[in-house]
Amino acid sequence: MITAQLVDSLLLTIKLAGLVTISLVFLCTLLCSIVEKLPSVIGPIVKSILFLPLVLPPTVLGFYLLVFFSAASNVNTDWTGFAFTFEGLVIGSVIYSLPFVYQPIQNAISAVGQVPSDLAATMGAGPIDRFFTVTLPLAKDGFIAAAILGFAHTIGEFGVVLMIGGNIPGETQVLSVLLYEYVEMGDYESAHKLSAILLGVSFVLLFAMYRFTGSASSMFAMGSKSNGINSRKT
Amino acid sequence: MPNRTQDNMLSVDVHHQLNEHLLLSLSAEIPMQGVCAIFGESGTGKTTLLRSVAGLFELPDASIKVAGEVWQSERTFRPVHKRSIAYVMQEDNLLPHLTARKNINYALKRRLNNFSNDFWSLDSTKNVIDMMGIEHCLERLPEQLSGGEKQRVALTRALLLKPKLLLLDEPLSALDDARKEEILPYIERLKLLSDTCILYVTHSKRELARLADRVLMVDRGQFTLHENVSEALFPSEQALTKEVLLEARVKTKQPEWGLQDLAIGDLSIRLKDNNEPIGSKVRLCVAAKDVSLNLAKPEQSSILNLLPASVVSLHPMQDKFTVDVRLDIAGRPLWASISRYSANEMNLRPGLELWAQIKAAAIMA
Repeated sequence: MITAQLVDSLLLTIKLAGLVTISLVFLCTLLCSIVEKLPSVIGPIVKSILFLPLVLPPTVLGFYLLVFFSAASNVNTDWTGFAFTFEGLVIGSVIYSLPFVYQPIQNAISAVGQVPSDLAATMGAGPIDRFFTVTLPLAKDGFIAAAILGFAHTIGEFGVVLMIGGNIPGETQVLSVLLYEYVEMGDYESAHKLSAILLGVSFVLLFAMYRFTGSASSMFAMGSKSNGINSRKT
Repeated sequence: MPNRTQDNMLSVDVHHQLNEHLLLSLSAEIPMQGVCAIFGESGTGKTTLLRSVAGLFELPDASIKVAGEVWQSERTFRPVHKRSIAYVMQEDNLLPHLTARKNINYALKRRLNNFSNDFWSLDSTKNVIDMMGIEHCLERLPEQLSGGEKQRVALTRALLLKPKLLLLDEPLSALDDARKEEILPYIERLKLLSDTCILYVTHSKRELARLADRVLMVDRGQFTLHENVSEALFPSEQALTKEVLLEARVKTKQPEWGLQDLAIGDLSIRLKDNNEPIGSKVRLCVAAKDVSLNLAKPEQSSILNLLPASVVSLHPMQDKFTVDVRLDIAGRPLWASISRYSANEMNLRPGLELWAQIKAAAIMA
């Protein structure tokens, strides 16, 4: 049986993942253009910080965010802060999923390379014009892959949500937390149903990515130049 | 020279240590008419110079002025997209996700103030498309075009844009010899059709001889402007030189004999008719082995093309049996390669007046 609680939680999860994905695609595109141009001393430091969520236990990230949020709300006592709110979840998820969106976008942009953009400049296109008419269309697969990975990974987060969001229905109770609650209460039938839904959704998302974007999507082919212009050459 | 004011000059001042081996140094005022070749070995800074004129590369401390507009100085750097240029490289001149027509439109929309799709139905546009032979390519993506077709599309785009400067960076060097022959005539048409200044980077003497009106010679980063291509290509001091280029103009035709008369200054020579129109300028490439010498003018003979000449200097060759003779024909250099025996028999010495006979000459353009 599909309960109102499940529907609420599903809608909340989609809203969270959607918001996070949209913010990350913009943020990472911007970050790429800055980080990749940093000098060789600072560049690796900044990238290491951005990529920490890839290796850090999510609970560690969640713990620090919680500490940070409560410190911030102590400074201004009128404000209750981001802890245990939907906004807090969005901030935590953006940090947590950033590497998964950053890397495909960066791979795709570097595979397109400087040549098409230079060419467009000689034809009279300014920097923003060049990004939207040349780099973006040529790196399209990378952007789609980045969005899918960001969305799927946000649906899959658990540790960060539990630490900074808690389990408030309609506010912070996303699907992964709801599943945990089902199991705690011994409601295995609902747990089965929900697990199956999450499994199916995750598979469909990844399948869509690999089916429609080819090798561009590989999160793990760091810095590879496997798509874009190069593969168009015959 | 006709009105050499700031308004039709490209002035470039560069003095920059590019890396530990290469000091780029150039200070030149280049007239903005016709083709100025930038000629030299690979890795001597030709492309770097062209890219900085385009604005794709910012050379520190350089100053670039185009027809009175400052493109780069100590204080200003005009970005690429605000410079009135067209740029054609060896390859990758088309955006891979757009058809040939859309590639051309991409530039036209951004460069021409009053662009609309009517542009394509103008007679002048149709003529250019026709002339460059790309009608059949227009709706195709770059990946469906051959290397030569892609270059022709890029050249057409340059032609339709009518920029102040047309920058060509070895546009033929990625093509095989047959394709080069196919494209060269199109570049010659480009030169005829456009009244913009063309900077043409090349390391091919052949392209230089066929296309250039003047040349920036580069040797390890040092650029020197030569207004006379023939002299730049075949400097008279160079004893081993075997060929010279002579500037000539088609004077008259003898269709019944398949011959034409060419004027080299006040002198005249008669060659096989190559279908160049009367009045057009051509360059003759004369090899030393195709020039023979006579002390007296032979009256009765099948010989054409006798020109009065005087001996400038004698250069014995390494094989000890040949002598290269530098001649002067009405102020122009010419070389003859003859046997040491004949040189001895004729008692050749500097200052001697004699007759040079040109047995063959290749017409370059």
